[in-house]
Formats: sequence, C-alpha cells, structure tokens
Amino acid sequence: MTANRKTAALALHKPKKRYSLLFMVLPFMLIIFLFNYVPIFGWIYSVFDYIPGVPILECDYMGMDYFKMMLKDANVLRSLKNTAIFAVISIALTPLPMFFAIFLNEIKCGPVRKFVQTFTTLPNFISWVIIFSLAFSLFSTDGLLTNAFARLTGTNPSSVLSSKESVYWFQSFLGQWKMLGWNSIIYLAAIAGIDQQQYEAAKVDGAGHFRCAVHVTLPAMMETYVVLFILNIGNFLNTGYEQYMLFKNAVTAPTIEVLDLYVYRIGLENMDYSYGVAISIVKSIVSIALVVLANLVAKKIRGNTVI
Amino acid sequence: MKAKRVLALICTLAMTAGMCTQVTAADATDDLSEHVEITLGGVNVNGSDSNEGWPNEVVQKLEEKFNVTFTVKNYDNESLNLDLSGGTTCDIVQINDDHLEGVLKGKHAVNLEDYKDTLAQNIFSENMTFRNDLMKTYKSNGEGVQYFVTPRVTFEGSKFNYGTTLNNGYVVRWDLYKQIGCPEINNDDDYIAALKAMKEIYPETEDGLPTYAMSAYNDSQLHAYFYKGCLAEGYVNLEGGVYVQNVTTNELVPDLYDVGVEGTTPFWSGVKFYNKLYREGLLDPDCFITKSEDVQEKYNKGQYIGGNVNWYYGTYNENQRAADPETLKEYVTLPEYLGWGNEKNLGGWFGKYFFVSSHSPNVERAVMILDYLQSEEFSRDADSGVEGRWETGADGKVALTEDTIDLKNNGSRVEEWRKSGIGNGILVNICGEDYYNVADDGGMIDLWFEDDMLDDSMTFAEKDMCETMGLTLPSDVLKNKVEAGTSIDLGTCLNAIQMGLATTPKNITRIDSNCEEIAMSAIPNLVQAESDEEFEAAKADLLAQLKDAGAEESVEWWSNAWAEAKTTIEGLNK
Repeated sequence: MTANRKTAALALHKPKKRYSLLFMVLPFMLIIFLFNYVPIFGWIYSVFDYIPGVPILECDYMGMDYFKMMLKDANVLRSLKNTAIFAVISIALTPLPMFFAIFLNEIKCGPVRKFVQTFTTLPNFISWVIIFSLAFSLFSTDGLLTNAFARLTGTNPSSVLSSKESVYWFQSFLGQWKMLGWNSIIYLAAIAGIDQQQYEAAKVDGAGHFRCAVHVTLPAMMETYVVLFILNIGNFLNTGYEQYMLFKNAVTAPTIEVLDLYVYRIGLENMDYSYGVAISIVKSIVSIALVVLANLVAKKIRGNTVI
Repeated sequence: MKAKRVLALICTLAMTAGMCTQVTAADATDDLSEHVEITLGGVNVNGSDSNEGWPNEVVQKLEEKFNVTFTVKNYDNESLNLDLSGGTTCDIVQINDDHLEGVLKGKHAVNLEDYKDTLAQNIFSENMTFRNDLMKTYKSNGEGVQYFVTPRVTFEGSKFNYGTTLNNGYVVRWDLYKQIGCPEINNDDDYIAALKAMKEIYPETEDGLPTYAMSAYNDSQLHAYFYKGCLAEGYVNLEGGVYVQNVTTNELVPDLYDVGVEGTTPFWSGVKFYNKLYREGLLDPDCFITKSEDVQEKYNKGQYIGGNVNWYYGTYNENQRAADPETLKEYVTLPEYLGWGNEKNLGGWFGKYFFVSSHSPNVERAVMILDYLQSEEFSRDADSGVEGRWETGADGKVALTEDTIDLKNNGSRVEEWRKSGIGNGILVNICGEDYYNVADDGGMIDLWFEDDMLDDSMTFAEKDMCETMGLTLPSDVLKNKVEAGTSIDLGTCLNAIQMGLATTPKNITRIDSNCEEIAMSAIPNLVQAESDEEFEAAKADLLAQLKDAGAEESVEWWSNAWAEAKTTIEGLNK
C-alpha cells in the first residue's frame, strides 16, 4: 500500500519529464505516420480502374473485381509458391548469422577478426546490379568459375545462371553471401552485452571455448534470435524484387518470379496499377496475420511476446 | 440564399473566364517579348542535360527565333504518370499509346485547332492533312478535334533510296565472308551455312575467346526472335510482337498463337532459326541470359560473326578502323527477304504523340515551338544542319558544303560536329518531316540521302565489298533483289492502320502480356530442341498454354479491331 502511494506520488511529481519524452518520440511517430500510414490511402486504387492522369474518383468503380481476379490468376499462385520456397530457405538459414557471430567472436586476433568482419559486411553495400555483373563474369558459360569447374571435372561448361534447377539454392546463396556479415552485427552486439563473469564462472567449472559458446553465448543470444525470427516471419512474403528481377531470364522466369516481382511487373511494367495494389493489399494482410501468429506461438512457448 | 448568390457569382466568373480563354486562343499572337523556358518531355527521349554539344546550332537558332530556352527531359512511364497525376507535365510532352487514354480523359492536352489559323500553320499545312485526320479520328477520344501530332510524316512525292548500308538483315564479318568466297545468301539455311563456314576459319578471337554466330538480347522480351522472323517472312510487328502485319497484304496475323494461320509467322520463323543455330553448335550458350550490354561487349571483343541488326557492331567497326583505316575486319549487313527501306509513314511515326500541356504556363509559346518542330525548316536543320552547313549551288541545286562533309568524316572535328546539331539524337526524333520528303528548294530534307552523297561515307571495307561484289553501294544488294522480285521492301506497307486501332481493353492487354511472358519462358525448350519432333512437341505445349491463357479471345478482339481500322484507314488514304 505504501509502495503504491509512493509510485503514485512520483507519477504526480514527474509529469513534465514524461511529456518531454513523448515530444521526443513525436518526430518519429510523424515519420511513421507519413511513410507507413498515409500510403495506405493508396489502397483505394484497388477498387477503381485507375488510369494515370485521370482523377481517381472519375475512374470506373470496380468493387472487389480485382480481388476476385487474383483468385483465378495462375501467376499469383506460381509466384506465391516461389516466394514461399525462398522464404522457407531464408528462415531455415536465419541461425547462420548467429553462428557466424559466435565464430567471429572466437577469433582472438583483433586485426584478423576486424578484417573478416569488414570483408563479410561489405557485400551488403554492393548493389544487386553490381552483383549481377560479377555473377555474370564468374558464372556465365565463358565465366571464370564455370570454366574452372568444367576443367576440374572434365565436363562441358554449363552456366548456373541459365539453370532452372539451380534457381532456389543459387539465389539463396547469393542472398546469404550479401547479408551474412551485416546480419551478424546485431548478434555481435548481443555478445558484447554478455556479462563476462558468466564466462569466467564457466571457465572455473572447466568449460573450454566450445562449452562457453554453447552454454553461455548461445543462450544469451536466443532472445535476440527469437525477436528477429518473428520479424522474419512477418517478412515471409516480402522478399523484395531487385535480385530476382536482375537474375530473371527466359530459363529462370518460372521459378524466380516472386510475388514482389510479379506486383512490380503488373503494376509498373504493365501499368495495371489497380490490380497490382489489390495483390499488395492481400500480401500485407497475410504478412500481418503471420506476425500475429508468430507472436502468439512465441508467447505460448516462451511465456512472453515480442509485440 | 446567400450561398446561392455566391454560387451564381462564381459560375458567372467561371463562364467569363472561359470565354476569355477562348478569345485568347482564337486571337493568339506571336508575342515573343518575354523570354521563357520551354521543356519538352518525352518517353524514351534522351534528356538534353546529357546530350553533348547542347544547345547546338539548331537549338540555338530555335531559341533565338522564339526567345526561349529549350530543354528536353526524359520521361519513363512512372515519371510521366506521376507528372500526369500531379498536373505538372512539361510544356510539350511526347507519349506513346499507353498514355493516350489518361491524357485525353484527364484533359491534359491543348486543342491545337484553336491555333489553326494563327500559331500552328505548319501543323495544319496541306501536306499534313492525312496525319491530322488520323489524329482527329482516332486520337481524340471521339471528340473529333486534334490534340496530337506525330513526327516524321512522309509526304506525297517524297524521294527514296536504301541509303549507303543496310540496318537490318544477315550480318556478316566482311573479312571472313570474303574468305569463304562470298556465297549468295537467299534464306536462313544459306546464312547458317555461311556462318558455319566462317566459324570454321575463325573458331576463336585473336585473344583466344570462343566465337559464336550470335546471341539474343533478352532485355527486350521477344524482340530478338520475332524481329528476325519479320525480316525473313516479310512482316512488321505491332508493339510487343504478339501480332504482326503482313507487309504485302496489310493483314494482321497472330504471331505467337498461329493456329489456323497459313505459312510461318515471324515468331516461329525466328525461333526455328535460333533452334537451327543451336543444333549446329553456332549459338552462344549464354543466349538466354545475355542482355543488350552483354551482346554489345561480345561484339566489341569480336566473339560474334553474325547477327540481325546493326545496333551492336558500330563500336567494333570503329575500333578496327581506328587501329587500321584499311581494315577489312568490319561487320556488314546483307538483305533478308524484307529490306527495311522505302517506308511510307503517311501518318508519321506511330507510338510517338506530341501534345502541348494544358498545365504549361506558356501555352502559346509551346504551341509555337511544337509548330516549328513540325516545320520543313526545322526538319532540314535537324538532318542537314542550319543554312550555311548546306547551300544552293550555281545550278540551283541544294547540297551540303564540302566543309560539312569533312566535319562528319574528320575524326578530329568531333566537337564541332556535335555542336552543329546535324543528326542529333534528340532532334531527329522530334521533327515533323520524313528524311526523304522533298523541300521547297528541291532538295531532300536529309541532304545526306541525296544520291550523290551516298558513296562519300563508305568505309574501306564497304568499298572493298562493292568492288568484290560488283556494286556501287553496299545497299545495292537489296536494291537488286527487290528489282528481281526475290526481296521486298516496306513500300506496300500501310503502317497507318496501326494508328487506327481502337484502344486495347485492359482484359486483352492482360492476356497479351501473359501470353508474351508464357512464350518467353517456353523459348529455351524450343531453341534447345534436339530434333524436329522435340521442337514440334514444345510448340504444341506452348500453344496449349497460350490457349489456356485466353489467346483465342485476344485473337478475336484484335482481328475485329484490325479489320475495322484497315477499312477506315484505307478509305482515308484513297
């Protein structure tokens, strides 16, 4: 009872400080509102037959026609399947940056660790266009690696870029190569936050590097991992399109076209904006549902939620 | 009551303002006292910011004449759509068919007929009547007024020739073709045999890189395939290549879904050609992943010994000539069945529609500039340079000056050439008259196409080609074949029919786009078929997929729309 009174008294005496904190948050809320909520107005385009240059309310009203059309569109199903495959591979590989961070942490030679970290982080800053050019010079039929591999195995050079079977693993490999170092940064930060006394205690108990990593570092990072995992689930359908657009060709087209790329093709290339918006709306709704579901599962398993 | 009065007042004011506007348009004068900026924005037009030598002599003349600063801006579909939606388009805009509906329904274009007798007399000149009728009938949303103009309109009585060299056809490396004895090429099989013989004597480049016959440019959807077939079978394509127009009969033919079509359509002819190359081991194994820049790079390295178009080998030829002015290592083009010449654009170039934006703060000046772009004077300037770059001789004949000819051929005067504005990449795409039109002074609009000018621009390899093959010009191979009746040109093609087509409904556009995508994905199986049976099976599979995607519905719509447009346009052309 006394404690409650004290808390209430404190609350009464510190209103100014709380308002100032709220004011500090306002610019960020404004940014979120402007860039994340205002664009939702664009959903209105999905119920009109929008023609650029004609005011939206003067365009023909279509109701739910585009949503119904989506259900009959075989391309949606195909691109959804591709998206799901890429997303499942990506989610299956989510522990990689965590393990990479642990291994990086075990490198005791400072300059070597910094070099490895920089070397693996840099690809994140290379655009997909450059990566495509690099991949073309390495993996085309005349490419360096393709030829080296052919010489090594005594087979005819065959480009992985024009192989339908290799699309899923090759694109996932490129994605991991680009993002691994960058994604491991957050885990390195989590490792830096681990109380050193835990390692000392483990060592006193006879733990070596491996045991320390398994019994101290790994459990300490699980919280971070679960948060990121749930966010990844929310991004299940958001694979982006730049990578897939660049690597799309006549051979890879059926397997590489993900939902985002399909929306890009429909909306911007074919200028069928309204249909593109309709697909995007469904994608957003499914994404939100997935986040909520993952959050519920996390609560059930771990007892606490992330959002 | 008070509100009603205010409303009535507003209405009266609005009506008065409207009447004032009409009066202004009708009484428009050429008041040039105030200096203004006029920008032309165009889809797939290069911007003047990155155009070397801008403002060149031709632009400077325009700017002085109309007291303006004239710039050109590039639009892509997205930026144009944004500007249309926001009402912030450039003063003059060039669009394609995709944007017509939005511009017309959104009232973004100025009615040019308001200026018919004042500021737009070139646009409404007698020679432009057919083009103007097309614009009023088909590009006005049924209003029957003129909002748009097209570039490069061919007039009655225009001269024509095939130029010095050909732009499309069977491309060969001249030195190799000469070495194998210049075998006559009359069809794809002859060409493949020649390519095979050339590859045998040139299996790899001087740098040890493997050589191939050719590849496809995969960033242009199906173009590499249907365009090759158009040349072999005598068709021109409509946008996307899902439908093609027979050059001789002017009939529309479904290109991909060829069920019930007599003969071979361009797409299937092109795909079969690539299949034959594949089976002969001549096709670049990266054929399905090469994009334009990759194709260009391999041409620059000399890895291709053939091709269908002249777009990619210019740099190789230039490099070889720079290293040795008397080199024979140059690509030249031999004719296929259809030679891309003698084109009569009676309605101008289709798919390029210019209008004055109703959002322009200087509508009258923009109308004056657009009218000037349509004029004979500007067209001559763009193709042949401003007066002084060409002159009227003592015999009364108009000709380019010796200095102008030297300017083009002399590599050390590149800067001066660019500054002259002759043949400038932007200007030649926005002027009103065709290269081959005859100007009032008796000379062609493009004086470089005058018969006595053609042999001046030949390279050493081209001269050697003429000497070896007994020709006056490299393009004479086509001329001789057309005269012999073994090749055709575009002389009989009424491409204006394409302008008379009704706006494609969205459901048909969706079907066509889907069919195009399905065909793209089927190409690897077709091209890499190891036997005729395998090819036919892959074809049957694709046709079934196209049928499922609604190809028959699309064919029905296009056939009806084409028949209607053909009847009307042929009537207008009589």
